[in-house]
Amino acid sequence: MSKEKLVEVKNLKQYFKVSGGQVVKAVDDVSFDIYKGEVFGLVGESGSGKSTTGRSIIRLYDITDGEVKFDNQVISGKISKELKRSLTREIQMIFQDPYACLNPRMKVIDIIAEGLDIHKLAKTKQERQERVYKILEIVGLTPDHANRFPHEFSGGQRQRIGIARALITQPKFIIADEPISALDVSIQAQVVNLMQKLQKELGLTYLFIAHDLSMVKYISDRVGVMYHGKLVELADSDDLYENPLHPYTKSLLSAIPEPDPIYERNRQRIPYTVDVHDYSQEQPEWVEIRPGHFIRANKKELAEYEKQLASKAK
Amino acid sequence: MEAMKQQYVSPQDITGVDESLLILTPLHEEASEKIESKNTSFWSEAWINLRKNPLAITGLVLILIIVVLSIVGPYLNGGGDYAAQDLMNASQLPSAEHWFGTDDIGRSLWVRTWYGARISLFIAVVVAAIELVIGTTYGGVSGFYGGTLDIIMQRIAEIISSIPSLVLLTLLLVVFKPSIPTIIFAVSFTSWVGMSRVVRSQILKYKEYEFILAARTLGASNARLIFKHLVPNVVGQLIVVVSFSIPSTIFFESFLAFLGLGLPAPTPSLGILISDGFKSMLLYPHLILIPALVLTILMISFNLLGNGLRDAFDPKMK
Repeated sequence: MSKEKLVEVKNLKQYFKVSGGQVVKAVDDVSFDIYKGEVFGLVGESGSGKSTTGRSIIRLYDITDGEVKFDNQVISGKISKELKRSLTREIQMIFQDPYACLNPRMKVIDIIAEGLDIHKLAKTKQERQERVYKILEIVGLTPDHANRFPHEFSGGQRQRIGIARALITQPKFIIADEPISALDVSIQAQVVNLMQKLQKELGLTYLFIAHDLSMVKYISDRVGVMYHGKLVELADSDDLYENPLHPYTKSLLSAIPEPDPIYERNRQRIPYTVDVHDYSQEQPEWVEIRPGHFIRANKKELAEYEKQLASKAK
Repeated sequence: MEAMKQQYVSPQDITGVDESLLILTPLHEEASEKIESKNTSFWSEAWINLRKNPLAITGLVLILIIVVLSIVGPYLNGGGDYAAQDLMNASQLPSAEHWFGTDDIGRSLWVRTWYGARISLFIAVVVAAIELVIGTTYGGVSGFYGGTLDIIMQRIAEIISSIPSLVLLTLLLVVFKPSIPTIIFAVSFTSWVGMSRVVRSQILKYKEYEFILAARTLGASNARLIFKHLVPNVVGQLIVVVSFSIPSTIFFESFLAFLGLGLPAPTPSLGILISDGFKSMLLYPHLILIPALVLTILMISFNLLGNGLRDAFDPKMK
């Protein structure tokens, strides 16, 4: 895999004002890079800011502070109209809820062709139809689905229509915002396999947001763990699952269910509270403890984690 | 983390049945994606739902009959001139010559009833159209753009709707002499607020849906979001509101006529006929009963149809 950066997120902050003059720090000082052709997994509990991060990157929200770069161009804040236009083609999103992500009043052909219509990519009606049919086949549906309405499809089929819609503008980068969490387990595999197949065939880069750790491990090259708006750990997928350092990562991993009754009966869950950190003396920082393995810790904790890594290596 | 390694569990382990006895059914990928049901659009489904509702269909049929009669009725019996007087035959009971009888100055009640229904319906439909245009635009802008603009627009709407409409109507009709345009203006002056509220709440609801976000990430303009994505989703609700707004306008118009704020003589409307008939109710009850009956049927029918439409567009509300 080439180590060329496709997306660079630097000190991204996304605050929301809520009633009563309070500010919710949905994403608070998050930095990471996504390399070309990789699948970057983002995990964390509900409300940890993973979806907000994705939506901030794709400019659904105006970010409070920080910078996002795509293909070495700054894409956050005020940007030119031409860049905005090309971005809406090159970055696409797959959504969580297959029932809310398709307009119930539009036919499948019009839903999928929306990108073509907005960017005027199809010159004739014929071409528009052909491109939709082709993409329908790519996602495992058939051309006779084109003239139907979304309510006639199952959850998995709807999700594939959503994927087809995202693919039609031939994007480079796809943000998948919990694309499988609303689906049946058997359908989850179908959709994930499709996403993997597409990634290989079309050379896509994914930001895969999820809370299902086993699925993230299966699909991702690198994984970032978020907690309360902050990234707490980031590493290669295998590294993270074998050598989790941050107590929150350990807690998350301990919660993965296994299809093994004996293991399940004796499973020890590791609870996590912020009280395990003593940040009264020194604030934590985002540091690279091993090449490619980042963690949020202060010096004291860092020494502790070093020790853990050393003992594991033996 | 040793125990986390996945273990293959064969069907034999679970069921105790030898694996060779189990036959795996081949998966027909193609067949499993096929949809057998008929292709139904939003409108055809709503129509199918409505057809199942006998009350709503009764309402629809009665409305159609009254609409047809209000157009052609006056010419079927008595020549179509609502002001024509036949003083020799004043205050008659229904007969072959005058199907609904005549009033105290010999005007055919048949002609006047259907002509009155025509005017009442006309006022109601125009008011509904004005409500639709103003209410949808106002509610749509307020809900879609949100923020400070929304707050200001909602306060203005609240002020307008908090003025007692009867007082306002009376004042307006005293200042501008009653005529069809002034009645339309007076009634629609406050009634669009209800429509705008419905539209605003619907827009607020759909605005957060993921299909709107998806369209945004594809670079859709605001105009496209409003007209391609939001409006088609609100149309069902709008039709329901309109079907309830029409009878309430007819009722209001009759009410004003009864207060003496109706259209000037000799133009009839259902309200004016009832108000006139009331004067000789004990002597000639048919003069009030017939227009009152038409008004009642019209109101009930619109309400039945409205209820039916609401259920047809949103089966969950049943």
